[in-house]
Amino acid sequence: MRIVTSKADLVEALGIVGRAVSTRSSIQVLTGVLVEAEGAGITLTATDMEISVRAPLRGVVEATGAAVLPARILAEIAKTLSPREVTLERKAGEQQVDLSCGEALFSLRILPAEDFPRLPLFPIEEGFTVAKESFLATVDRVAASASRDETRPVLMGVLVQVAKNVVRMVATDSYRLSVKETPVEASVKEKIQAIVPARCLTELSRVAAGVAADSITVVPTHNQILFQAGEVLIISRLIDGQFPNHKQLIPENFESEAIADREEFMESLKRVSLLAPKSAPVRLQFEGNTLTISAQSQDVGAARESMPVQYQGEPLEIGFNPDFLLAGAAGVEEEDLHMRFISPLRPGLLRGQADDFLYLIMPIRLGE
Amino acid sequence: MTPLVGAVDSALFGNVVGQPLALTVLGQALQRGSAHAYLLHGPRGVGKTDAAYAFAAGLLCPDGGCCHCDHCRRARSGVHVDLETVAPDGSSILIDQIRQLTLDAAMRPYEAARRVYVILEAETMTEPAANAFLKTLEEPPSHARFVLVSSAPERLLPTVVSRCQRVPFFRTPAKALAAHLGSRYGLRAEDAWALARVAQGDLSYAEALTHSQSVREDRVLVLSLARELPSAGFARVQGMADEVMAMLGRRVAAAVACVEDQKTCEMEWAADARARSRVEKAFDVRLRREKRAAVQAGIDHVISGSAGWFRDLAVVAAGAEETVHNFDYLAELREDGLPGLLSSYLEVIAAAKRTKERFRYNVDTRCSLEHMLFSMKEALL
Repeated sequence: MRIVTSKADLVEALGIVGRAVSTRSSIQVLTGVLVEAEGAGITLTATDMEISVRAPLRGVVEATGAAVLPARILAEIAKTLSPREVTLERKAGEQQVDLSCGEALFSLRILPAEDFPRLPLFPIEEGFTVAKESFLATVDRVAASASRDETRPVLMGVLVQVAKNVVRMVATDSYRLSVKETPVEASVKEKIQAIVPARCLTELSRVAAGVAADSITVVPTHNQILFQAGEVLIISRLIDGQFPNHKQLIPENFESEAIADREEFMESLKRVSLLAPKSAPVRLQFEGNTLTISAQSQDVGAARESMPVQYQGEPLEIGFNPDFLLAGAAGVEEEDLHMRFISPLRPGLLRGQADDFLYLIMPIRLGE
Repeated sequence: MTPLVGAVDSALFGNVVGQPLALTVLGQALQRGSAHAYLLHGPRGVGKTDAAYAFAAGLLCPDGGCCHCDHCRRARSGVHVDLETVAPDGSSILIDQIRQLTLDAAMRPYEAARRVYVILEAETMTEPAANAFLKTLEEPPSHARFVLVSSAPERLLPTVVSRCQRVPFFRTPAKALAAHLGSRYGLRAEDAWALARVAQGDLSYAEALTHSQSVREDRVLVLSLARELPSAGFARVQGMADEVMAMLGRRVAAAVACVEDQKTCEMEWAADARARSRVEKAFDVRLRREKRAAVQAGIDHVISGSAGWFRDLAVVAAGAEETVHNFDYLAELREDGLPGLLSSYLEVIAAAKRTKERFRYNVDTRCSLEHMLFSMKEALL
C-alpha cells in the first residue's frame, strides 16, 4: 500500500472516524483505524462494536492495500505535522507503515487487519433518502431526551419512524418525552420503525452537518441501520425491545393552558433556577394572567420572578426540574410557548402553535 | 449414542478430546437450532473453555461452524465483534460486568446473526451479579446466546442453572487421552499411555506434562517429597514446606512474566494517558487473577500429587498394581508400599482432602501446607 494525501485531509478524515474508535474494548484491533487503499480511492474505518464510521480520505493511491493503524497516535501525529503532502506506505510483507511528511518520518507498527470486523453489507436498494436539514433538525430536538441510564437500554435509543411524508422521532428517559414529526419527502415504500442508539444519531448530526450533501440515505436492516451523508457512512447496531407507546403516555385532555413568550420565559427560568441547584424543583405559579417562577435553596436563599402570560384555567402551582423544563422550552423553537397542565401531579405538556413537536415533562411534588 | 453428524463438527471441536456426550449436545444444537443458554460444566482441564469458543464460532458462522471462514477464525481466537467474554474481575464476576453485558445484549448483533456471551468461571458471580444476570436470562433478547463455563456448577444459583441447557464434561478417558497425546504430540504409545494415567483425565495437565519441562519438574518434586515424608524429621518437613513455597513462587513468577509481556505490548499501543491508565488498571486486575490462579493451581497440584502418591502406595500394598496412576514409579511404589500401613495411607489421603477444603477459604498458604505435611506424617506414625 502506498498513498499520498495532505495533512489537512488526513486530519479531517481522522476527525470524522475518530469518535467511533473503541476506548474500552478488549479487542485490541478496535483501537485502530482501518486504512484501505483501492482503485476507487482511500477510506478510513473505525468501530467500537456499537457504531462504525467510514469516511473517504482524499488522496492518490499509488499502490493498493490495507492496514490498521493505531487511531489515537495517528490522529496526534497528523495534527502536529507541517501542512504538506503526507505519504503512507506499507512495504509488502512488513508489519509497519511508514508515514512521511517533509523531513518527518514515523514508522508505525500495524494491527492485524484480518481481525478488524467486516462492515455489514447493506442492501442499498432497500434504503431511502430524506432531506438532510429536516432530518438533522428532528434529531437535534429529540435526542437529548434519551436516557443515559444503562439499566434500561431501550430508553437509550430514539424511536425513529419513517412513513411516506413524515419522519417521527421519539425519545424519553421516563422523566420527559420528546416527539417530533417532520414532514419530509422520504422515498420510502412502507412504514419503517427502528430504535436507534441516541449516540449514533448525535454522531450523525455532528458528522453530516459538515458534509456538503442535501440528503441522507438511510438503510435499515433487521439488526443494523446505515446512514450515508455524502460519502460518509455511519452504521449502528439497533436496540432490541419494546419502546414505550408515546401515544398512550400523552394525555388527550388538559385542564389549563398558558401561552408565554418563549424567550422571556427561558430567560426568567435560567435566572431563577440558579437557586435550584442539583435537580431541586422550580415552582411555577399560574394565577390570572401572571406566571410566577420561584425557587429556593436551603443554604443560599430564594428567587422569584413574575411575567405576564395568557392563562386559562384554575390557579395552579406545579414544580419541575429546571434543566428538563428549559430543554423542553428550547426545543419548541417558536415565538410562543404553549404549556398545558392537568394537575400538580400529572405531567405537563410543552409545545408550539402546531403539534409537530411535543415535550411531555413529569412534575416534581412540591413541599410546603 | 448418536455419533456426531458430519465431519464439519469434529473439525470445529478438534481441540476437545473424549467428550462424546457434550459434543453431541453442542453439535446437535448447531444443526437443529440452539437454546439461548448453555452451561458447560465438569472438572478443570478437560476442554470446556475450548469447547465454549468452538461452539461460539459455530453459533456465529453462517454455516454453523465451517472452520475455515473468517467468522470461525476470529471467534476461535476470541476477537470476533459479536463475541463477548465475561471473566472474573479479580476473584468474582461483579454486578457492573453483568450490567454491561445486559446493555450490550439489548443491542442487536454487529455483523453475525447472533451475539454470543461466553461467561468463564460462571460460579464466581457475586449474588447481586447472579440475580442481575438472571433477569437477562429470564427474558433473553432473541439474538443472544449465553455460554456459561463452570467447574463448580453447584455454587451457581439453582435458578440460573435451571435456565441453561446443561452440557456435562467428564474426566477425559485415559484411552482417548493417550490417543490424543500420540497423534498431537507424536508420543510413543507406551509413553502416551503412562502420561494419560498420570494426568488422570485432566487433558490440560497431560498436555502441560508433554510440553513443559517445569511442569514435569514440579511433578518429580512433589512425588519425591511425598516419598521422603515418612522418614523426614521435624526440621526436614519445614524444609519441604520451603521447597513447595519456592515452587509456588516460580509458578507465580512465570505467570507474572507472561502478563507483563502482554502489558508492555499493549501499553505501547495505548496512545493517550487515559488509554494507558485503562490498560494499567485492566492489567492490574488480570495480574491479580493470574497470580491467584497460579498459586491455586500449584496448591492443587501439591495436594493431589501427594495424595496420589499415597493412593498408589495403598493400591500396591493391596496388591492391585494394575490400577496405579504413577506408573513410571512402579518400582519405587513396590519398594515403599507396606500392606500393614493400608489404613494409614487412607488417613493421609483424608488429611490431604481436608487441606483442599481449607483452601476454599482465605487461609495462609504456608501454614496450611505445613499443617498438611504434619498431619500426613502423623497419620503414618
